[in-house]
Amino acid sequence: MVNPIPALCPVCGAALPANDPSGLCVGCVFRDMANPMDFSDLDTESSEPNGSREFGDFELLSEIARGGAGVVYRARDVRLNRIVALKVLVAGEFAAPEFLSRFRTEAEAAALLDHPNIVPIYEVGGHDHRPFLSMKLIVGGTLAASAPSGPEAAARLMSTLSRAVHYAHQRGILHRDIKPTNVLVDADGVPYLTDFGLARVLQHDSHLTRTAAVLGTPSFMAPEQAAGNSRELTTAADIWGLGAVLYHLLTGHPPFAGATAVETLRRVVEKPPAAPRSLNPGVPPDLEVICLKCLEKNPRDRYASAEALAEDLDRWLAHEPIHARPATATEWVVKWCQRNPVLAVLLVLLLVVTGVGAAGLLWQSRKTQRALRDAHRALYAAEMSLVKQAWHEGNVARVRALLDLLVPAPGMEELRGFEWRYFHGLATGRDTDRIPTGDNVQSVAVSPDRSTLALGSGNGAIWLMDVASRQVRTTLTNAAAPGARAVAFSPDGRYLAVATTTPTLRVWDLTTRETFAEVRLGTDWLERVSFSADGRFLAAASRPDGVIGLWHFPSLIPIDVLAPGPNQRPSLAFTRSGDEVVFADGEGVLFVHPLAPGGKSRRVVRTGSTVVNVLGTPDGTGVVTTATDGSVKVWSLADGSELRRFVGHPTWVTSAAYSADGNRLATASTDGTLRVWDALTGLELARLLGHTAWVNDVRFLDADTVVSGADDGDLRLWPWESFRNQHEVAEYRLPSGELPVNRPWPAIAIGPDSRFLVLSRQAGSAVLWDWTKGAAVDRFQADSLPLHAIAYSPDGHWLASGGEGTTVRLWRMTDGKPVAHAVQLPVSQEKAMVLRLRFATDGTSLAMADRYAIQIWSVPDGQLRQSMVLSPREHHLSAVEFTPDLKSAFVTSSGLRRGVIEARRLSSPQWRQDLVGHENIVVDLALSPDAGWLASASLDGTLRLWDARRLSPVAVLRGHSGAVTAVDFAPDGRTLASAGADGTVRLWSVPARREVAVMPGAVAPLTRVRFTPDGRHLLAFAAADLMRVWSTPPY
Amino acid sequence: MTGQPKDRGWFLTTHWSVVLAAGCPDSPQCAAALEQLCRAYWHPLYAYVRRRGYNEDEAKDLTQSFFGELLQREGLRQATQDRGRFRSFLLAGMKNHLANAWDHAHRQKRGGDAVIFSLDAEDPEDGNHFEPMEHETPESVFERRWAHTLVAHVVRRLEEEQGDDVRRQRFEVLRPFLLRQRLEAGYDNAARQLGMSHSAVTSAIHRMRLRFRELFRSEIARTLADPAEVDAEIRHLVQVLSRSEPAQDAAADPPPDGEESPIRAKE
Repeated sequence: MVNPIPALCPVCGAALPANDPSGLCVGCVFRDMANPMDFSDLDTESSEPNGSREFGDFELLSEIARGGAGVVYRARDVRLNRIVALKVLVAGEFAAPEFLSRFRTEAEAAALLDHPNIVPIYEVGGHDHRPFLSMKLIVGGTLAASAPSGPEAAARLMSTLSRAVHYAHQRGILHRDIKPTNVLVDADGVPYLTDFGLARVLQHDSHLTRTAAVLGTPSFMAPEQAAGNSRELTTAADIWGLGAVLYHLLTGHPPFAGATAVETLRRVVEKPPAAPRSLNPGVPPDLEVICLKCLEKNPRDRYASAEALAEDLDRWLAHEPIHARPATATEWVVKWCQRNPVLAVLLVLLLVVTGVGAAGLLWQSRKTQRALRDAHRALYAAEMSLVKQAWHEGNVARVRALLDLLVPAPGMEELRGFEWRYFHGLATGRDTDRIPTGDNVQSVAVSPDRSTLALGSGNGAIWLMDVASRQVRTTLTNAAAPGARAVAFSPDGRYLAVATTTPTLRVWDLTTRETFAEVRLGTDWLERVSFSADGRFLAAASRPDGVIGLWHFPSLIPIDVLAPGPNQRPSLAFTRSGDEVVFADGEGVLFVHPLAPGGKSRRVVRTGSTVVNVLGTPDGTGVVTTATDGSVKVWSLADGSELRRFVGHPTWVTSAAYSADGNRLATASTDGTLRVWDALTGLELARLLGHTAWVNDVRFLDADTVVSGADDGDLRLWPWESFRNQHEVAEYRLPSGELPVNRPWPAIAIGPDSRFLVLSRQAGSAVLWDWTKGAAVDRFQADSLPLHAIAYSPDGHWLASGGEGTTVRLWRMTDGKPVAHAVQLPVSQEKAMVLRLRFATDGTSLAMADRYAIQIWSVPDGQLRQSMVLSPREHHLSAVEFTPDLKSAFVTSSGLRRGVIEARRLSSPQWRQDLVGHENIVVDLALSPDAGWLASASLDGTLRLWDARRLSPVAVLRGHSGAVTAVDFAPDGRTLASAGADGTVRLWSVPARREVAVMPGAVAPLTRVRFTPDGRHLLAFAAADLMRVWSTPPY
Repeated sequence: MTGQPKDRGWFLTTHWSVVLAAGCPDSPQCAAALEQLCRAYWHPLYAYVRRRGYNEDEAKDLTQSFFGELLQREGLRQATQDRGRFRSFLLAGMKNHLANAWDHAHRQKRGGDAVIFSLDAEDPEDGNHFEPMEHETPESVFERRWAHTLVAHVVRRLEEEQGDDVRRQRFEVLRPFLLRQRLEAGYDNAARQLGMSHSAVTSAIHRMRLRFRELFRSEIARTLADPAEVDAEIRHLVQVLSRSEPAQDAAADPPPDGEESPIRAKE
């Protein structure tokens, strides 16, 4: 669980390689070697007098320690004839007068401290441009070298130190750099703190502070300090330092250590420390609690004072209950989770998975349990927003990683809903037609009749694959030429030109499968080959010399050899007219060259990128460049202006191809993806995920199929049907038909198979539409008046329709089609206008709400079972929802009581209870599948969640920037979808009561939103004839 | 001064300056000397390649093939710049080599990829886990690793020079005092442990440090065309080792345009 923590160099604090046999700190070796020979540390009192040197009024006796900032000597103060510890800062770095004065101020403040556990400072000064301070010499070692053994000794020592720190704090002095090397322990085991306040001057005044040399490792630094807020440090930073030292004493490791200072800083700020007991099981639990309280990321959550820490340590030593626990544990979890949502997910998972922390926490109270659960839910929502962000940034790998994090551990609440599956589907891709070839596929070409694919392989073989059977029919081999970099069919399909990793361009005659001709170009290998559209010319490009050869075809009489300069990635394409070639040189400058003999290249534009490939646009006026920086741009051949760019690939785009109609552009990249773009707008239509290595080439096989070859050895065929749903959102035009002016949106019912939609169309008609095919299956007519409500029975056998007419019709469905209407049910009175129809779960009854009454009818015999007259104030019903058993209803109107939702029981017409909260008309209501939750959408811009059984408010969900127009629960009940006049569709986690996604791609004001019964699709309707669909893979 | 190097000749003939002067591949000594240098310093290069995002096998292959080209073909002639320091020469050469990695990946396995010397003899990943993989550029990983390798070589040589068991044991005890960093009490402990007088211990440490310094400088010198550059090289590596913001390094030595991205893409 815990990564090995590197040992640290006692001098400079750098991480020592775990298994370096020398055991030396390499940085210190080099620093040592950069200086002249110095054996001062070997001199002792008994050594010769000439071993000592002078430094001002001091006689240097020996070196005690050396760090990046300076050297500490054992020295004799000649004036007073006393032995002192003399700390001399390195020359140069700290020689500036202003530094010296600050150093003096800071050190003199510290010199006022008079405490038995603080090393007294005798003198502060400068000599020979080197600041120094003299201190009492403590004979012993630092805590880093001589730690006390056992938790009691550690606690005692830390209690002593904490009181010393408290003493300084009372005098307004912060230490700022409490760490084991700043604690000296004398022969009797008495600890002394040294270097009070020095960190401040050193860190502020030196660029060296950012080097590991001075800073040492920031392993003991408080997060607020690590984050750079050193001016705002409080006593809490020193409490952190004390906790970190305690941690070190208990575990032998600093609480945070990375291989570099930067890495360590990052961990200090972002990560929780490993529990001391995970490193040393012998650490007493309460001492661990004390230690971790000091190491709270938020300064406010640490001990209020160093004295409070000392007291808790003393309590522990006296076997009394400590104050650090357990009163704040719950709070701790919640607060911490709020501050660190992402980490908290990890931690919560960790706690629950290991059961270690969980056992410790859960026994406490149900409150804790609830806190954990709430945190877990909140974190789910927070994580999902990161997912959306990562997806938006195109970071598919991160999306996958984040989603994986949300897979619940056993025993944990499942929170993943439609939103999770949606992004998971986007990020993992669908099955496509994958054809393994056994070697990397370097190039792909489609024969003009589209019956054959030519694949250039890494072993130099050319495979001719029959598209229909997906079988390789012919293999053309060229033993001398490993690696087929490019292949091109002649426009008549008879010849295949192959550029290989040799200077020889070979043209095969496919009718004989013999070599038709060979020509040589350049010195090393050929990278590109292309036929002009009329087949009269052949061009090839060589690397690394960048030479381009142009020939007549099939005579192969040379026209020209262009040498635009060396180019590792030569590119080449004919323009549509076929009498010019386009190429980019090694500097990314785009040229066009006429094929006439003696023609001169014309510079088009400096693209600013290193171009990998070029491609003429279908209209012949432009050229597409793909580049190493991931850019794909279209340039005007006429004036070199940038016409369009396709933004998305983060890295090399190796190839691009237009669909035959020129409407789509497909690109292949070393990012492992292919993307399909709207060629006219530059919008990304689809991201094709599946290849596991660099994608080398892409072509359109036909209007709807992309074919790609990659280093993973796979050829993949991507039928448009397979990836159109993989796109973020699909758009459908509904069958045309006018809708009434007062209700310009269709009534919708979704069949239980999730495939058929019934949509109301003009006057009394409805259409049965297979939305997965975008095709109308049937059209039927009720009467001549508009339909406002349509409902499927749960088994799909019945369909009910009603509206402005005087009857509700019950249709019998056969093969999904309405064959005849079985009964006509009368509405409550003339002009009643049916607004809502719903079948009971068992399908034996149908509820109908019109402006005047709610009626329940038996199905299919059409007996009236119940009727409840609505009061006049309810006559302008704006939304109605029935419970699945049809025993209760929620109604809301646009009349006087706008915004109030009334719960009604059909068995007792007098009973009603108001759900109050909305400030404007409620336009849609939805009940969760278990009937536990009611969601309401209102023109007041909010969405509200109610407890449908207790009839109490649960949450107000804000997010839409205008009226909320529609709401629906996913079949699993975990996700709520809402649509708004702002054109967005938002998803909400029902358990977390938080927004978890804003669905991409919605624009127009939306009128309805529905999940399909299989939970795989979310449909949103805009205006009369537009439907957008977000889909997830099957699960 | 005691502790004369026993095989000073090895050092002399394997100087980078000798390699350059003799010229490879014409001179067989040169080839042998170069091979010894490469054998000594392949690990930093391997670490560099790994940091560039290649997996273990790829990195091994690339390192092998790089040395293959260097030793068998005319790698030395291609190096016109950066010849002053073997370290810079190797890095520049490897960069070139990797610049062609895209093609390399596509080219059929070349004949030149014969194993030059076995990288398997040592686990190339050994020690790699402490490489900070997040914030360092490949170049700084290389240079840091270089410094580590250099020190490890020197310490090993010093160790090997301790002839008999007694001396080796003494070296083990005194090794921590190679650097001026220990508190005085340590010398007394060492003296007690070795049954020597305080002054005998300090003089042993004294000698050990002198020899260490000598070996250290000559090891650096053998990677340089001009031995007068030793101090400059040490200073450079001190900077590298003190640096905690490797971004500076990247800025000082930008990778060739476009070569980085496909490699990063594999990370």
